[in-house]
Amino acid sequence: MATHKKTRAPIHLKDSDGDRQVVIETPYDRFLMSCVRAVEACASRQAWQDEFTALVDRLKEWVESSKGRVRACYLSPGDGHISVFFVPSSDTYDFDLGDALNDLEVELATNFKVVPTEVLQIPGDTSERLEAFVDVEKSITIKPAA
Amino acid sequence: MVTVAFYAAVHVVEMVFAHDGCRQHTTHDSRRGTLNLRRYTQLRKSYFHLYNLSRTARYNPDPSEWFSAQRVREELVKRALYPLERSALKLLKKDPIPEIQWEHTF
Repeated sequence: MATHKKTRAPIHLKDSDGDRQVVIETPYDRFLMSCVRAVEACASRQAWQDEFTALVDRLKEWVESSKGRVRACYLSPGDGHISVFFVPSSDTYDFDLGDALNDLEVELATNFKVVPTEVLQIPGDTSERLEAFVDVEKSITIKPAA
Repeated sequence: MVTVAFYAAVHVVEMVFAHDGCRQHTTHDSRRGTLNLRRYTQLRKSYFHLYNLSRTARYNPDPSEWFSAQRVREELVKRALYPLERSALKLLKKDPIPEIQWEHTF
């Protein structure tokens, strides 16, 4: 016997409603926003999420293609951007990897305009050195397949 | 040494921007954004290393193990700072300047 899930009627948020106010409630807050601003916020959030997913996919691909010279990549919230940290396979700064990361940073800046990024090569041969730059618990980690 | 080399690069880059009629940049992010322009491709390649290493020298508990003073002189200055200066002078249509003659070893 088929089961029917009870659904509630969707809320229509239209930018054509202009300055009409929407009341937004969260467990900790309640605030007003115009319909136009609320629609913009929803659209921006969706665009950001879509682009962030595509960014992670691109970085996975890049890390995989750089297997051998990259130990790991960490995405971490930065100051107005996403910090993309790369740990080289070597224990010291890899100049040639730096050249490749410069090209990658330009590519990301060109292709991902909603999610600004900063690419950095950092030491990560010990957890002490790594943690000077990255909070691993709060980051997305990308490692090449074994 | 890394930080000195990086700030020398910042002044060179700002000199080129001023020559091109760009406003002065007050943040590293905005400067790097302008360097994304195709005209500055060569400048950016060198600047990237200098910026990256100055950031890591600042927060790294053992900066000399990550990038030794010898590598600063032999790699960073020769592979990044000098090429950046040469690219800048080319953009400014000026003659190249002579390289530093090192008298001390590190």
